[in-house]
Amino acid sequence: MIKTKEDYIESLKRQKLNVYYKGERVEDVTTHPALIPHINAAAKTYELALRPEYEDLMTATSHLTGKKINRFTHIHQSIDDLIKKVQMLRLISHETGSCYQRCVGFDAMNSLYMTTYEIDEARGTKYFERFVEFLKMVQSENIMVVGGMTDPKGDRSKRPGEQTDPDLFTHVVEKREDGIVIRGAKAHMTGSINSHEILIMPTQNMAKGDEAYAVAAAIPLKSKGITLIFGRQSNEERKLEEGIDAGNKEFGVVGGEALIVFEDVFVPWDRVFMCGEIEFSGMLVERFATLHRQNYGGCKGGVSDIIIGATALAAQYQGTANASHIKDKLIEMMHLTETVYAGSVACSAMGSKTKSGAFYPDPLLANCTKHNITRNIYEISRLAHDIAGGIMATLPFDQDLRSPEVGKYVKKFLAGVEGVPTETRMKILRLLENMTGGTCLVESMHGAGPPQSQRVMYQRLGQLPQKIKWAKALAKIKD
Amino acid sequence: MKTIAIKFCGGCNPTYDRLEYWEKIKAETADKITWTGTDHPDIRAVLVICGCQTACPEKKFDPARYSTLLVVRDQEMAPEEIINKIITWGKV
Repeated sequence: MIKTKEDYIESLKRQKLNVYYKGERVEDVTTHPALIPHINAAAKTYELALRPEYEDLMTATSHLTGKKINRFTHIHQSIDDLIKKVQMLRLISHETGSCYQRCVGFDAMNSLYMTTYEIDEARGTKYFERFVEFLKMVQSENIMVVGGMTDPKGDRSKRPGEQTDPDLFTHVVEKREDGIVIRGAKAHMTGSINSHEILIMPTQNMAKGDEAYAVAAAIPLKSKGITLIFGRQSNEERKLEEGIDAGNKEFGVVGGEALIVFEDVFVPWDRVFMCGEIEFSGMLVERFATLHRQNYGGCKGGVSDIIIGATALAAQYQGTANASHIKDKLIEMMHLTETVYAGSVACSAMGSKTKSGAFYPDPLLANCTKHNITRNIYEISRLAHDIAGGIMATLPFDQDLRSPEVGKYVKKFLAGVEGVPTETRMKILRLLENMTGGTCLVESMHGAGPPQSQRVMYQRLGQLPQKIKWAKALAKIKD
Repeated sequence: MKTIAIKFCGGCNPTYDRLEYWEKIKAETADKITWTGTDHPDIRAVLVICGCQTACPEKKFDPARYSTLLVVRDQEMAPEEIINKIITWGKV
């Protein structure tokens, strides 16, 4: 069983995944300087769970075994569990300032738990029973699971079966007596190079003819036929340097996403949780999306807390902290942060019990939360840039600061208020640069689905006919 | 020596440094109190340190089960005052 950070790292070292970084095979992900920050971030989910001052949020009691488990392996049993999930995410973000990846698998497990129950009820299958066995293993071993939903999708105007290359959607290529064979890929897979298993799910609602693409299964990432290609992030090579330029060297920029390729990967039947039940693919996608969108006010709320703190420090270090417009902008950043957090808490508080007994956030409010993220994080970052000033974009290298020739000029001309060393000012500006640009913003836009996918949900769940009815009643309009 | 349980809230967004606050209490009471977890079967007194007014763990504690329950929600009261209160608790 994985308990400590050390156990976790040792488990990653042992499994020897087929990972590629910058065109080269990575022999050991735990010693690669570009991958260590992502492992450190995920390891926080293990470290904090062992500390009494965080256990109320970081741990839960398994409804299956009655044992104390890491909350990231828990199935929500109440509204309180849904709220605690959001609180936990804000807490961990304060420690990492970046994504710690483990929520995706958490949400995949919860959405599969409730959906397999309903597939079995309608179709007499045994998916729920199988899934519960898998879940017990995840809880007892405390492994890290990737939630694998997004397929590459090729030509978006075509359905899965209409693609020129059928592998652009992950699909079943063979059904055997002992299991199925999978081919395809999952894109943007958060935390995958430092996880143990992937839970693949259909990427969208499937229609008649798409049966081979309606597949959900748990697959060990070390399985034969799996290749992981790590994604490039903004300024990631600064993590390979010594010095202050990385901004947040200990942890990742975002979640450490990878493209995962499945080349005829065998999955035994006891690990298959959906195989051809097209009518449940939309339900699974919607549930996963809702559970994942629920998170963002928690994790990004916590990340924004750090951005606000760093921005206030940047203002202090350059002597602008007392200007009224700076104070007002910091207040606006707080308002935007608490707005997204409020959304996450609200969709949790308004959650409901599914047939399986697992609790599920209010989908409309969860989508609203994520939609606000696609805007508010950009605005929070814009205000951070506004307050920090152009210097954030034009700072010299760390090597210049330490240079015997030009270091004295960097120290002299980039100094701010008296008593604050230039290096201190540069450190906070680099942290802000790291947390507010490039990949971080795109992740806020597209993680858990792009804004248009949330607007589709507004259209479906927003009750426009009821709103029209209320308006007509007040205006005394009779049909 | 008194035996008292210590319990923390989860710390999602604390309004003060709960751990610094607790460390002061712990250091000052090292020779007077044995601190333990709430899972200890004979516990009758609990100090609950929470990061904000919501005090999430408070609802978990049945007041009838404990002779003494003190919930800290902020640092309005200095750690020294908390210590003085605890020291004067009866047999716990």
